Amino acid sequence: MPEKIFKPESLSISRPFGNTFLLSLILFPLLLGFSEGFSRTLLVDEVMPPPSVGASNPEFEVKLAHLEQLVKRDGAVDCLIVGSSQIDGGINPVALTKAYAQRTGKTILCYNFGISTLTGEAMGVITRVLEAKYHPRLMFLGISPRDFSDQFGENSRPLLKNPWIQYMLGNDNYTGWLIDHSSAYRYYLGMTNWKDPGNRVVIEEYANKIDGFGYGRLPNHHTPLVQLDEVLLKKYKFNPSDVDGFRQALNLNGAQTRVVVIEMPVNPAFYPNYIEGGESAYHEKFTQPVSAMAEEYGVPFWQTQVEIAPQVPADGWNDRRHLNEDGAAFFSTWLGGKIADAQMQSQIPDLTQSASPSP
Amino acid sequence: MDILSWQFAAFTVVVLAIYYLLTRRAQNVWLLLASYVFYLSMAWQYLALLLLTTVVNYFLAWRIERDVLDRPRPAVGEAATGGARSLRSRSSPFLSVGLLWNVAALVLFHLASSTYGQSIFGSDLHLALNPHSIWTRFLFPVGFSFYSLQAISYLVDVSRRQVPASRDALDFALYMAYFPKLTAGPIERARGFLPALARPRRVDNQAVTRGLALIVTGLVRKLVIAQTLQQMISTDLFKSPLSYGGLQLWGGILAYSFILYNDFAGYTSIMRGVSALFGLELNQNFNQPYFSRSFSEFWTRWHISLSNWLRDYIFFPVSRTLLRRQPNPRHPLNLVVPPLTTMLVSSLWHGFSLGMVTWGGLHGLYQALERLVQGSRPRQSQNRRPALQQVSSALLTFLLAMLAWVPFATNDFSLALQYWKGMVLLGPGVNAFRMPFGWIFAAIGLSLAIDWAQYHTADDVVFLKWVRPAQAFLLALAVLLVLASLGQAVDVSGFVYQGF
Amino acid sequence: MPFDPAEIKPRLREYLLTQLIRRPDYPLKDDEPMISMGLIDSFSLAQVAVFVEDTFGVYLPDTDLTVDNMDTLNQMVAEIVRES
Repeated sequence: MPEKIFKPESLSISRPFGNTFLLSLILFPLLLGFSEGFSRTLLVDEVMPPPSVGASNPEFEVKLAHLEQLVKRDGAVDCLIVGSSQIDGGINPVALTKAYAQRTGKTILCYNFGISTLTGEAMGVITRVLEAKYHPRLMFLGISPRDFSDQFGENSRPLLKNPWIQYMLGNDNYTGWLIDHSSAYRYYLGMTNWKDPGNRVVIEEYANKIDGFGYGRLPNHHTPLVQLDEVLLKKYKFNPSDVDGFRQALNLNGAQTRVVVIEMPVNPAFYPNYIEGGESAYHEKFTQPVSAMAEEYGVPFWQTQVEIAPQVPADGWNDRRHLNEDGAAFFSTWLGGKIADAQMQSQIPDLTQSASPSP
Repeated sequence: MDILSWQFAAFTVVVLAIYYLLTRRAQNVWLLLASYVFYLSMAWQYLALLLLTTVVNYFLAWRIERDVLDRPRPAVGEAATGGARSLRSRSSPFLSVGLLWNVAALVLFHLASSTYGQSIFGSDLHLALNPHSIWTRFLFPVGFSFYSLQAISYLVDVSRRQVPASRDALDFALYMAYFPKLTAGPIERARGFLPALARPRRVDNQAVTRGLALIVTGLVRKLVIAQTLQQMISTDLFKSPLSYGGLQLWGGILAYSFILYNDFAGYTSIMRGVSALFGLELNQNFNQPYFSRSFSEFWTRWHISLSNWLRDYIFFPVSRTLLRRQPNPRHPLNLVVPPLTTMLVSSLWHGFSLGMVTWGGLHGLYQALERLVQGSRPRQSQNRRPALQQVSSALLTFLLAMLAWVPFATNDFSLALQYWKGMVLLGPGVNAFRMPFGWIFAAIGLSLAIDWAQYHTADDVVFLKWVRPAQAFLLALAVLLVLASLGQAVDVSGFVYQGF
Repeated sequence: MPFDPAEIKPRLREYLLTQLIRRPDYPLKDDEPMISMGLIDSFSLAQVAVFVEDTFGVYLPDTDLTVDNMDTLNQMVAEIVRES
């Protein structure tokens, strides 16, 4: 009976067999190597969509991709500016460095890493990752009361779970390791996301909006500002996880990287309505505690709401909390001069002199 | 079980491993069991329908053969003396029953899934068609369109004494159910396939290499080319053509032409490769159709198994019948009716919609016009025409075929009209969707490169003739590209600039 | 009794050259591919089938009108002999 069922003579493989396959096994890693090499050139950005670290936040991905391109092209970045969308559209690094150059005669390289909906919790994580990867001499933390509220952060808090970010924070994982060490893998992730038509529209919108220095310009418009007299933060109190994150960012202050906190201005007409309770509540519940925390870590806190915000041109606001293109130019120029002054007063290191080795 | 899944790969490996240990007869039993398991993994309703179709056609063929054998074969020369009538008299009423059974089922299933059917049956059918209803699966049996055509060809061939009615239920069941061709063809004829099942199979180095080469080529076509192109065009391009600019519409239908081709040709290549590993050859289904220099050539190169079926069971009978009535081959009746009838049947087989009928009608007209333009001029071999003439003919054929894909893609006549209008007017469109033409042309370029390599050697695994290092490099590159295509995107489409 | 190929070939050749290819002086070889080279197509094959029925009284099944069976003149003749 078994002989009626079993008779292994259909398959008739003779030697040599499989040599092509074996040769391809040798060529495959060579192809991978070539892909890796190509992905580290500047040419790859002419051909491929922006790389990705596997985050579900396209704005973060584009910011990181443009920063990578900048570093690849121009070398180490001198200063990074981290914060929410107020930073994203409010600080123009080109205007900043121009103002700085006019005062000092020297140039510096700054990058805007403002991410919309960013709060303190994500700021702590992102600043640590950026510091570990790019070793900027100066890190600005642009803050505003909503950065410490648990009502915000829906797009930025999920970044904490990203494998690459976890890897950069010291929580080893294979995916994070691969993303960090392989440029080709990052471009592969970027291509995979970009191929999806729904994703592509969003990714390209951000890629076009955010310039090579990370600035997300908000075009000037002449429509009247609204909601100026509506209170934004009712029953305001600091969210503990956002405070923890902020402290982690402050803790980066040291010899290698100097941290400076900047209060991001809001429209003066809106300022009394930002926190329920008016200007005194703003000062009591935001400015004072931030100031105290900054002092704990030896970090300068540059306040701008009272003195600088009123100087912003009246039509320099996109809305009650964000500067538009003109407003950003004004504020960035002020900031560039402020950096130059602080440098001359030795509040911050001279960014044009090399300190520790570049990454 | 999706054929592009690790489950299918594992399933095939397991089936193969045991297959190679068995005798021929046991191999057929094993393949039949595996095919039923494969189909069952999709839905038990599909398997029930397949079993019913198999049993009905198996026994109908017996009765047809008995009727046909009872009547004497016509003598030599009888065909000339009322031969057609004598031939018809040889057919059996059971052939009509069989044809009615298979065709009615085809019509019912197509009607159920069409908007016309839903308008006929009303909202009750809509309610019944919820995905959890057991009846839903009976009404949309995957693969039925293909194996029902096999059944029809089998019954007709038995009635014409082209093939004896099978007395081997197992082999016949396997002919109907063989899993590499079950869900989307190729449509195999019993005349070739049943004898192949009865022969011992031998899978040597060449067969394995050929099978694997076909699988890799198919994966490149389906995943690297077709899937990438699918992602390059907007998902509602064919549903809302008016909102897109002219350039987008041209780019979209160009991409679609290559999506359709590479998706189907890729699938067939994979299945032919799998079947080659079993020692069973499946017919080629695509032969570089976009290099065709005429529509009569196109339909010898596109979905060949279906085209041949339509030619043998629709075109020739209609053509010959009309030539009997009107001997002038250049009479409009003989020029227009056969191709139009054939293509309309083809369009209805694809789907019951005005869009499909428009597609089929266009191809029928193309062929009729070609014949008309040819006129009484002397024929010339395509290959002997000047190269420039051949290239321009191929480009024109492709352009017209591409335009005909519009109603196929929209599956709706009025949407097709909107699409064509947009292509002609070349307006800017209101949709901001930007088509990445660079990537589209890169994918199309890869498709054409594969086609060219196959075309001018008339060998679909021409790469196996290259020197070993080149083969190895190509294999490594193909694997890299296929793996790169498998990545799953993170969904960021809902991410809107928050400004917070 | 099957036909003699020598009887079939010249008549078939004449029909192909005058009615289908429409070049009476064309030097058609016995083993020259006609379908695969585009000299004749499916329309023509239907005409050939009707001609063979009328002239030789042999019915060629539709499923036999393929490039495998009918590409060259020799193949056509062999098919006719087979079916006779």
